[in-house]
Amino acid sequence: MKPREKTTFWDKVGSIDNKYLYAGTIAVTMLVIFSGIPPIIAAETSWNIQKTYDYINTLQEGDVVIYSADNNAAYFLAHIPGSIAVLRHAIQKRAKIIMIGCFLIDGSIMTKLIILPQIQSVLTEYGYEYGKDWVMFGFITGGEAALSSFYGNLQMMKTDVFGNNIEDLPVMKDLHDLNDVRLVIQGGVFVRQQIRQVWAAWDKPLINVGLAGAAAWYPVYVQAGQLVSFVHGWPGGAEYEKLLGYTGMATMGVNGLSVLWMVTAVAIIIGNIGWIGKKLEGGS
Amino acid sequence: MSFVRRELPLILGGVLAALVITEYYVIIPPLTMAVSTVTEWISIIAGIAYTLGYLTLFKYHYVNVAKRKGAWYINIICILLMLITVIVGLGLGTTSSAYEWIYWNLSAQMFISTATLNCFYMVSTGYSAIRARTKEAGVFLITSLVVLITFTPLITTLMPSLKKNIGDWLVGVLNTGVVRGITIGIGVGTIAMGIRTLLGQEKAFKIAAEG
Repeated sequence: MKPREKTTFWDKVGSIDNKYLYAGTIAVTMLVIFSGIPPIIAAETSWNIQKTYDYINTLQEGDVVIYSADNNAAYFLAHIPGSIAVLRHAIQKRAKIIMIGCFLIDGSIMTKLIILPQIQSVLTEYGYEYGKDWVMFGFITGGEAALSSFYGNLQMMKTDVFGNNIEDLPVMKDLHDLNDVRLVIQGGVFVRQQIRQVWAAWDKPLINVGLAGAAAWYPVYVQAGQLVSFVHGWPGGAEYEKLLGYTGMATMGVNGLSVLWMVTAVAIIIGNIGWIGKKLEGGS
Repeated sequence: MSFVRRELPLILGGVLAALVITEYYVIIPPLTMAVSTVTEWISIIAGIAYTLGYLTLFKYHYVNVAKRKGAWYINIICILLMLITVIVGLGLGTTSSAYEWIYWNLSAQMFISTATLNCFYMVSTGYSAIRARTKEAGVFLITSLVVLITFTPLITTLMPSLKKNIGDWLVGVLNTGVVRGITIGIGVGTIAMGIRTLLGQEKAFKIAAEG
């Protein structure tokens, strides 16, 4: 019978059971969230957030902005706080807003359930009237092909999401195609598709509110001039809210996000310390 | 039958693809109008595809219930929820409070719960999988740790120069070059895949055509 191998310190460090990792993650995150520590947002604004903010600042009263809600419930916290911040800013500039969704069915429902209540105060403050200053068309089936059709013919949808005829919506009166639109904002991850249909087909500016993780891909498009800029998920949303001077969903959750990322980094470091320690001891 | 299954879809696909590609490069008003109409049809076809997908899923669950296969009682719940959602959506509209209640309290919560589990998997996968077993893995480990740490809001507040000098350089310079190459590769691959599909050389099409 083989003698049992002695478990060394490095073995224990390198093979912590998942339940302890999960328990530790929950404990640390809850501690920070309920500790009452004020939100800690980056002191210096990221270059992409500043660029997005500066571009939205150039909007003039009456400029038409299309917001394409292509997010889903699973990642709504990544897209929606940033989308809310950008839309609030566009409303403060008195731009006309058209809301659609082409890639995910959830997008339009999430817009109505989450985004609308959050921007309602700004809509009221700036005297926005539905149909005259903003409109929601909901989900348009067909993905990129539907996007292409809509951008080529903005009168394509005969009714809005509430059943109003397009003729009864003054905001759509003089809009024919994307040439009449100043800016497209996408809240989602379908950047390439939007770039093809907005920049490549119509040479129009596009801003993306995407996931923080996908921000590794966006600088490529910004440098190529295909994307004006982007908001990188939750931390980006928090920075944008700070620029606008209000506390939104992103700001409220930024401490929890910081802690979670740090816990992940610490877990990676501990795992490697255990593995390297065991390697140096002569184990496999 | 073979013509209908194989040659006809290829001819249709080829002609429409040629029209759309030509319209992109050559401005001929009647062609632009024709392509615009065709792309509008796609919205209708996509709607039909969604309906077909729904009916296929319904059939799958129904067969499981009929044959009492596996956990068939869960299939009954699926069927009931599918029917209720469709009836409420079609009857009261997708903007009705009932439909929104179903979406937010059932579907959305399940999506959010599943996505939230990712945070735990992130920690456990980071702990067990991201290890410097080779030199390349070591470089990957160090780079990912540096980007993770420098982009954390807490760290960027305490040490803003870390993100500006290291994190942004890694993502904006080093990473961008690599992503450009990958994006071009994806583009070339997509074109090759499109040509194969239009010529009927794709495996899935061949299987479908042979029935």
